Amino acid sequence: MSLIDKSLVQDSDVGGPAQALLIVNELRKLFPINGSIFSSKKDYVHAVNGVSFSINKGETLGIVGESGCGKSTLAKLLSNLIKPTSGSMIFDGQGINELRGIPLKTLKKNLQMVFQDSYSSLNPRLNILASIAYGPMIHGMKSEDAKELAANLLNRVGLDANQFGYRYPHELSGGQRQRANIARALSFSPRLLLLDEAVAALDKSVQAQVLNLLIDLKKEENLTYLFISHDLNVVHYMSDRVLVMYLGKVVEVGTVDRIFNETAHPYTKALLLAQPAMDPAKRKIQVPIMGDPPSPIHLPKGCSFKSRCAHANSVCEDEPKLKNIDPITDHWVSCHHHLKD
Amino acid sequence: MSSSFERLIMKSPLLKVENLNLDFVGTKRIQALNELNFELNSGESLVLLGESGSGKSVTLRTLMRLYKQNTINLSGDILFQGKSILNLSLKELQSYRGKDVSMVFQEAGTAFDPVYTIGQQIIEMILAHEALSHQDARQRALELLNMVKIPQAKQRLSAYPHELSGGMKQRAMIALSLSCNPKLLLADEPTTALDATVQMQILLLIRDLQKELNMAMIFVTHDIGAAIEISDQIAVMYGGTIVEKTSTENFINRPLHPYSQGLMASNVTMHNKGEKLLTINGSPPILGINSKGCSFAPRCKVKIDKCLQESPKITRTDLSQVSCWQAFSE
Repeated sequence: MSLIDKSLVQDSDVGGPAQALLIVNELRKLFPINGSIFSSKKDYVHAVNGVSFSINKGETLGIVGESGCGKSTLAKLLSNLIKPTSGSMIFDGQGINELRGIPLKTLKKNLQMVFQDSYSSLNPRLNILASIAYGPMIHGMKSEDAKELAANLLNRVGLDANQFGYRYPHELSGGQRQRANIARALSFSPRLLLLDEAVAALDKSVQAQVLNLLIDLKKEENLTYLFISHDLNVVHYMSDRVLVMYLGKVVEVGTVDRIFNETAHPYTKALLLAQPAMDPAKRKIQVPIMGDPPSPIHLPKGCSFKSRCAHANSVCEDEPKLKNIDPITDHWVSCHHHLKD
Repeated sequence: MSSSFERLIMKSPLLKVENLNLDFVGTKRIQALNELNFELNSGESLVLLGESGSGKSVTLRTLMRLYKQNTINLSGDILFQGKSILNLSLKELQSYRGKDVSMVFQEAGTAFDPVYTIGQQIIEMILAHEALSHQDARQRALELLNMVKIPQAKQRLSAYPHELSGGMKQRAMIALSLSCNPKLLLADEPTTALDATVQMQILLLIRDLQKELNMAMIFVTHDIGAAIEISDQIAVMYGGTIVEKTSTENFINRPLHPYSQGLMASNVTMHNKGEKLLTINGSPPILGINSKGCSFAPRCKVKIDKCLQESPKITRTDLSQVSCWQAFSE
């Protein structure tokens, strides 16, 4: 299916179609903050605080949440850009960061990222053709072949290689740079693509072009996406399953239909209600929830959402566990009184 | 005599922008605004909607006269209550800013001075414009913080900006800008940096206050959803000019300019799942490159030869203004 004969071969399926492509188990990342040098107690920012989920082969998992809820830290942990404090990850049946697990270089070939800031994720001193060819060369491709591959990929993402290939990142517009970033990620023939707010910085008219491109590429290249965004409309459009994060924890995960139509967690409900109505006749009159998310440094005891939740009562002093409320569609919620209406 | 004069004042719009052109001069000459024309009546809320680089923020900053005279090349006129603001003296400008027109910025964190408390900054603003005692000014500041629904307003008066969360800072910023009852509020993407749930809180707050205090407002955003939520009128900007200005209902149901139509079509909503998104081909124009004709023509699906030769004239109907040669030819 791949569009070019000279390309890195996509690694073969190891565990079979039933094996989840990526399993994340109790992943935790705490960032220490410098207090006074005399204080014995050290504080931590609980960026990702015990996150478990899995991504099946060929699906798109959307991750939503407000800023500071740990979405981007999670993406960096998954791609091994930072090391987790605790927890484990399994890529297609092979452990990551463990003895006899998947080698890091192989993992990085299989798992690529596209970041929000299209400019800072490209080397300003390399033209985009060279930037794209760089990765395959590291993985043992001949320089001419890598260049040819890069040119083909540029054409595939809608940039004419002759016109744009020898330009430097600053000579491209935001949408064009993001296309170059996608081409760069694809040059490894990865199996999993982490898209961390990849379309957030783009203008609306350009955003639609890039979303269309991503959907086409997914089919052609047999990819699995992890799509991180704060824009619920875009996540709804792209995803098969959605995971909602709040203060470093998973509060709800399920299929798109379940999350958007049979919302169970009060926070997800509030997020949905905070969407503008797109119709002046149906304008919001009431604010869906008050207040801001609490600080991730001194986490509240019990349910982390209880300070803003309309349903909170004494039960919420205990920390809720993720429960499967609909085994048919696999809909997990972490709330003591999940909503049914 | 005087009554007819008053009637004239009443009839004329609060703000009138006429053929405004603005170039940034320097090593390169960049045309940021290009024949901008619009009117705003008192009590009306207008949203400037557009992509990055379309000149939305430049328009607001020009209305506040925030650019240094020697960095820009300005032509055209801005009339506020019938009086041109382009030749105000420094002293007149000081009373114009803050008292007549005030502004809310995108980054409330950087708009406040970090070494003074919120209270001090609001009181300073009130004392600069009104003959009040310090005590009365403090009382007014407290009322303002209550008005923007900051909890424990009394304690927050003596809080420093960094001690407030993003949403709270933006509320304090709004309180500051409303402190002297301005007739026109300029809001430059005040909700863009905020989270979805907080964004809606601030949008509703601004909308309610605008109606309650009967101010005119110009609200700049690139978010169509936010624009629809808050506006009476929407003006779509492209390439430094307003391509279409119309009522919010009209904009949603019958956008006339091909760019507005494209924007509405390419906006992802909950109904798009499984469909291919409609797009506007190409990318926004690069500032500084002066092209002949309509600035949208290279991306336009319905362009004719005339579009490449001549920039379109404004066509006005009773509710809207459109700059397109093809808008009414169906």
